Amino acid sequence: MSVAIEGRRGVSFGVIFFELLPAALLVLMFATVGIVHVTGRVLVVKVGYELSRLDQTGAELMREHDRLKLELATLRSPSRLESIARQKLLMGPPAPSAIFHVKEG
Amino acid sequence: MRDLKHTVSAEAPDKWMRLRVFVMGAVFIVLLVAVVARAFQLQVHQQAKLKGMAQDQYVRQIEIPARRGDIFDRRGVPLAQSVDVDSIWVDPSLLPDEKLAARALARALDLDQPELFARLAKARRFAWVKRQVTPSEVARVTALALPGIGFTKEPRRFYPQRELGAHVIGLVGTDGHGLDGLELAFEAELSGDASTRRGFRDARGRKLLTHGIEDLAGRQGAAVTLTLDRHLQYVAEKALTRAVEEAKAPAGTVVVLDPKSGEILALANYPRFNPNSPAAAQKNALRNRAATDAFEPGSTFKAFVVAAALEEKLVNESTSFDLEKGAWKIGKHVINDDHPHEALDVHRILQVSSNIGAAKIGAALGRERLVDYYAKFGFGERVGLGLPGEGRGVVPFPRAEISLATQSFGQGLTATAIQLAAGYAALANGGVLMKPYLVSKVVDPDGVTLIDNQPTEVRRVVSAANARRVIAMLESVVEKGGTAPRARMDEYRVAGKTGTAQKADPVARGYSDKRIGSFVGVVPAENPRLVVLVVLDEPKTDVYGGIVAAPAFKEIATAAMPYLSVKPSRPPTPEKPGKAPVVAPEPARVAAKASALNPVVAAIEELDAPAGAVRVPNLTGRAGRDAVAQLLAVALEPRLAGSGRVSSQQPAAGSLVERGTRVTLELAGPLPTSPR
Repeated sequence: MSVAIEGRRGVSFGVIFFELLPAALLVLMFATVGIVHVTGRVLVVKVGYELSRLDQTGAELMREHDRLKLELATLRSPSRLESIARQKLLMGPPAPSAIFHVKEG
Repeated sequence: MRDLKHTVSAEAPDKWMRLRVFVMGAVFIVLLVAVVARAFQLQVHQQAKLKGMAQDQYVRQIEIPARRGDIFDRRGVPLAQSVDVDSIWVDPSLLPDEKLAARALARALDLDQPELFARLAKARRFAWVKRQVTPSEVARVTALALPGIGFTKEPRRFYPQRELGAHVIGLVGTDGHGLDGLELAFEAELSGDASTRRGFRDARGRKLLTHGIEDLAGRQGAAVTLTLDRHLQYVAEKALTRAVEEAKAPAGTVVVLDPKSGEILALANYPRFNPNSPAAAQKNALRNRAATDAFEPGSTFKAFVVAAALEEKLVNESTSFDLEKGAWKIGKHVINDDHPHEALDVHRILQVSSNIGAAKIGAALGRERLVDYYAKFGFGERVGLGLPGEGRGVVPFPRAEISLATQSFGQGLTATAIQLAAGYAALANGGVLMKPYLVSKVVDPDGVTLIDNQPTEVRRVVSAANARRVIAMLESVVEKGGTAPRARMDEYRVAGKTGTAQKADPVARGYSDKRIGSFVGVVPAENPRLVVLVVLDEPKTDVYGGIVAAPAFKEIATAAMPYLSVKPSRPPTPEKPGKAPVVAPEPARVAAKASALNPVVAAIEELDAPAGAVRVPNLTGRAGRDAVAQLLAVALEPRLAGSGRVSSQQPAAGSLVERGTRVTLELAGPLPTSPR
């Protein structure tokens, strides 16, 4: 009994530390790799959502752009322009004598 | 003894412990091997299968429908565009009461309620309610707050110019496939390919793109640029509509062609239809008559007979023919002229459009040569525009004498309006037939030109000198004594020919009392820039082409010549006193109203009266619109090249120039509205 106590008392903290160190380092390494991996995955997912949101915004802007282009083309339709020119601005086609032909260049 | 006992009992557990450790170690090793083996089986052997199964659960192939290519006119004005709009769908299993929901939806969307209810009752988890709806319809459905209703974006085709060029452009169906016109003919180029994009869907159904966004430009449809000019198309359709309505005709056609290149600048048909709502179109309104319908052209063919006879040196302008006092008997048939003549030369035969004269020139030419020249002018073969259902016309060999006679004045054979215009374009182009075409370019989204049509010479039909002689003779048609003085223009020389053809009666196997009135004109006659053909089907108020069709020609040519910057053939005639001004009769009131509405107009008017030099403003860096306004304000004429902001100008800023001088502005930079 007294031998066992003596033996236990004889193992110093330093010995235990150095015996456990490789295992601790191994656990730390695995933990670090795990944290880095998880963080990476979280970032990928976050960026994926951001990309998806931007993609959606891009698609909506493209739709709006198309819609505005269409509206512009509709507003420029000759029948509408003629109607405005004739009815609102009281314009008409110029008399032939009022047309001057300018040389190109 | 105590020590011995102690020793024996200490050794036995130690052995037992070793055995247990060994067994457990073996068990763990076996288990580990099993785990490794299973892992190997899953990760290596069944990798592809299991990976696929896993991806099926969380990876989605998101389909991106291809954006249909736009259609533009020759100046880049959009004629057909696609825009994403909402379509409404429903999950019927989530509806508390399908009948009530159908009633509410039908009322909100103007649908047939029994038909909608039947559709909802039939479907389990998905049914379209209405596709490609308007924003107001979306708002009305949203306000219903029905469970199970969903909205999805779908591309819808819009035609911003409405009826303009609708017969040429055609239309697409709800599924985005071309149904008629160029939309159908160029379906492969316009439609592009739908693409898929890989992405995750999370538990909430949100999209998660972890594989990046690939460039989808290559999968979009190609842009098609036509030879049509929106302005000329508008003018042609307006003139045609007016002519058809005045003549009380059921249908009509106009073709405007550039004789030097063969480009079709306008192609109008009546009745018109709006491709944005084709269901509302009247019967037969969708048909592109100019390309599909072959008709007996009548007297417009006489010019080709005369050209052939000149080419064969059988006649000249002054060769005289006996016109049999207006009635020429051939076998048991009699050919008549509307106005009897004793004898006329070739020039006058064309001017008064004598059937007997043309028949006699045709007889001098002979059957083979007549048919041969008609074929050389392009009749009896398809033009090859690529439009669906394009007609070819028929020129049968005239075995009988009467057939030879009638074919000489354009009866007993058929041609399409485009063939007829192309034939006249050959005369206007110095005897060279050019291939008419409608599509100038097809360019894919990467900028790669898929089709680039250039003017193509088909063949020389007659010599340049003989073509000029025919055109010169045709000038007399619009003068006093001719059949179409209504086509005469004060400023431009016009060569033309009228046609008043009898329509065949397929039931009675003869000719009916119905007519096709037409006029084809070349302007200006000295250096032709346009060939304009106007055809009216069954006019009621009058049947003669010179009466019903010639005014439409004049209206189109009057608008087109200044637009194309064609110099007048003759100096402009001064306006007759008392003639109503083009602008409203009260200039002061008009100016005041116009000024109030438009600052540009006001600026022009302020500077309108005094003459003299002005200094060109510095416009570099300004937006195109501002630069134009500034030039107009100092009475200078802007001319724009490109788009964006002004990068250079000519004349330079600060130069002193006369009022009305044209200032050319080079624009550069991104165009905010219409990238192509």
